[in-house]
Amino acid sequence: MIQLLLIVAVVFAVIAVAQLLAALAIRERRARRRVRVDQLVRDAITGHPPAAGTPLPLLRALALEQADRVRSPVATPGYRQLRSAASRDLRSRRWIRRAGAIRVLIAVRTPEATLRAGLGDAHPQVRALTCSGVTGTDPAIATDLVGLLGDAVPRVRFAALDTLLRPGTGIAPAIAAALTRAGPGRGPSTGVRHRARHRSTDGPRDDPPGSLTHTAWLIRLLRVAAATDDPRTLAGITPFLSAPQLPGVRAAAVTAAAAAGIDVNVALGYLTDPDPSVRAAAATAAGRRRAVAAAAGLGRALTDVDHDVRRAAGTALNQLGAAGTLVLRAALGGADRYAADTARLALGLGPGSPTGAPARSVPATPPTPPVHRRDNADARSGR
Amino acid sequence: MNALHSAIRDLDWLILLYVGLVDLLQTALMAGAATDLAVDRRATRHLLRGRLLSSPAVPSISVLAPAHNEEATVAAAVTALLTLRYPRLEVVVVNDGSTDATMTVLTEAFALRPAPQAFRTWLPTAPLRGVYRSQRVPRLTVVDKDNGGKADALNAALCVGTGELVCAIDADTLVEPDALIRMVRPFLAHDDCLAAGGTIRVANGCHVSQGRVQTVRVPHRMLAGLQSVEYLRAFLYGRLGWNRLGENLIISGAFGLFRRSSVLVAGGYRHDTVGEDIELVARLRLTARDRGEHGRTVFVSDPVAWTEVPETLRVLRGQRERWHRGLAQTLWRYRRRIGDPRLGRLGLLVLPYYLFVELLGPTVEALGLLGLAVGLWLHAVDYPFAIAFFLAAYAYGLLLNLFGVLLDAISSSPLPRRRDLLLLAGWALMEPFGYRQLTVAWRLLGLLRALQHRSDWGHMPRRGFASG
Repeated sequence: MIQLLLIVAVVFAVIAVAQLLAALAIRERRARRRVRVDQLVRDAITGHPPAAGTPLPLLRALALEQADRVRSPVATPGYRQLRSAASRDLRSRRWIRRAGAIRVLIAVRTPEATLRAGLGDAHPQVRALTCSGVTGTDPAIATDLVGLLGDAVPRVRFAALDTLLRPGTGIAPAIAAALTRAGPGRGPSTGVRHRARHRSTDGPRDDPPGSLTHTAWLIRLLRVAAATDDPRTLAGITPFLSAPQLPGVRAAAVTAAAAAGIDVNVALGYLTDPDPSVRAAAATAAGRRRAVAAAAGLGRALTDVDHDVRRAAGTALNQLGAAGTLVLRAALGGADRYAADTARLALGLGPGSPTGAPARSVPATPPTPPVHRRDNADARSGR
Repeated sequence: MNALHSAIRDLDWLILLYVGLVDLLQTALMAGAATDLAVDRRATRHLLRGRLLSSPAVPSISVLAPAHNEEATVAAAVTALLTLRYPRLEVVVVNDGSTDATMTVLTEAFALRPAPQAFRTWLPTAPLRGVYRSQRVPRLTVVDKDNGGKADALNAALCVGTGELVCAIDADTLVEPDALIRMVRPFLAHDDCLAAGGTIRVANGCHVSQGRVQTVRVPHRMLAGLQSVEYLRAFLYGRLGWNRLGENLIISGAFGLFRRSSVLVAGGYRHDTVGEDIELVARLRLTARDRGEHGRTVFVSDPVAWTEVPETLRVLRGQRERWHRGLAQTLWRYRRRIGDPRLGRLGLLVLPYYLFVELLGPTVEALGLLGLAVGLWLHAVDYPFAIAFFLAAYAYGLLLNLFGVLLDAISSSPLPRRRDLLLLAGWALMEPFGYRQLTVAWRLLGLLRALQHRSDWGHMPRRGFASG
């Protein structure tokens, strides 16, 4: 037993020392590589691009560094070599190589059409990375990106959403088409490639496929539609304005429709919707459209039973300018203390104002859904 | 006398068995940590982090910073928080009834004006005196309230904050500028992620300026140096390892990212515990399980925050004793869930580990040392065996410590200096002698105080960061 313990102690000690040596060796390797890449970056900046014979790994590191730090890829013999190697790697069986290839192709500003293959890759990391490298100006790529909003893997959905929400992408036709295909009453997978073929054997096992619900997907689609501010999406959005069972979808549709230029009176009609999130979206939409005609309706919304609707109405009235300010000032002296409170906040009148009282805390309320109750808007008013 | 001999021998064998089992678990954690680090590095190697910095789709984050009597450091700390690199960031500072000039300093430094905003008081808190916004930095909100303790201040900030995620940090924690963009990754990758934690590293010895660690150094003072090894071991292999084995039960209160809606639904931070961070994570995970959800808590190794560790034994004792008391309170609160097969690995592995290894480990270790002393005195212990056992245990401890150093060399950024790595290895060699036994004694004290239902926080004076 003693001998066994001693052997164990020696083995542990040897492993411990090996770990220390490995730590030192890794540190040295990282330091050497850092120095070489820094030198290459410096050379590239000062007009000495890498020669054709520079080792590929260094070239790759340089391209990525430049993309991150300098943001100015240079077309040189070295880069041509790198690009052709990356194009080869796109066909690799190993996803990590394909991902590396996509990243290099993004860094050296390859035309987007070349990257499109990555959007249909079997591995989610490659799909997500490709989403981050394209802009969606190409209609085919825009359609793919919209399709990826319903991908089974959250990080791919995020990457697609991130690209689609950025300004400058020409995605309105693709969004309109997707919305038309996914009209109310259709199945969850309608219009979206849920990509069973993408469940790869080398993909991460911890991402359950198909975890995005149809409602969540629709809301996401409508959110992107709202970000486009494009009237071409309106026809696709309109059917969702009357989705009776899906208040979240209705609220997103009101926002998107307002952004797409729907008649402001139609949007104001939703101020009487049974769901507070829809009413709040309608108030926000009216404010965003700077629709002076909405002032009276928004004034009524100041007395809404829901705190979020009152707040949205107050903010919207503030955005309307003089007409909104008049309504807010009228509400200050009104009988409804909740409306007065919201108006005071919207007008930026602090607790020291003539109509205000010092802020104090309010009794706690349990976390309950924010539906049709007089909640503690007085948190900041001192009532 | 024979009976005593026999009892000591039996105790020795029991302890030997316990040590063997614990070492087996530690080895599994090491393997888990190595795997997780490798997988994470593969997954993030090609992440375009710079792109995330301008993303309109990332979830919004409210950084919650409670401050109590921090007039000397609060302006620099808040400035550092405001310069964190994240596209949708809001900083909510709570002046928790400070009796010094904290509020005045904040008002002057950030041109605060009263701007009471609409918010729901989802959670009960001590009375609020006012909500202020900065005229210079729109994303700064300051809440002034009566003193109610850290948990109470965090609850107030949870109510006022509007972010989808909340990052709770201690006022004296220095967060790396890109830490949030790194720590948000699990939330982008998993819809059911409840919380994510990052690495806390020891700032003693580092050069700190304007609320940032400018130059990384390993502490030269012994107590801080030994703690830096301990922190590496705890974070880089302990918590990383649990990512693979059953997910973490602890997200450090000094630096953790939580899904705000989940925290609100779970009831926020509890006032009646000194370990509000572990209690919250345990409650979040159990609440999620009770609803039939997975509820992930993920440790991410590359977001880094720096903290100043105690440099005197008295302060360190208070800290460790309090940590252990918090663990004991939480495990006692959820004692019925330990071993619950419906919770899966959480009930069958994670909670029992925290009970038998983390909480009761010091008791077993103290019993072992006591048994050894009595055994040696009564000649009931075989000397060569005791020495061989000690050598094996020491070598294993060293292996664990240096594994942390190795992971640090692989993952740390910026690159550590060679002499710092060697200094760290030196502290790793020394850590099992004396320091570990001291921490065992303090943790034992914490357990005893928990049994006495003590709930005071004690006092932790800090030297402050050298600035320049």
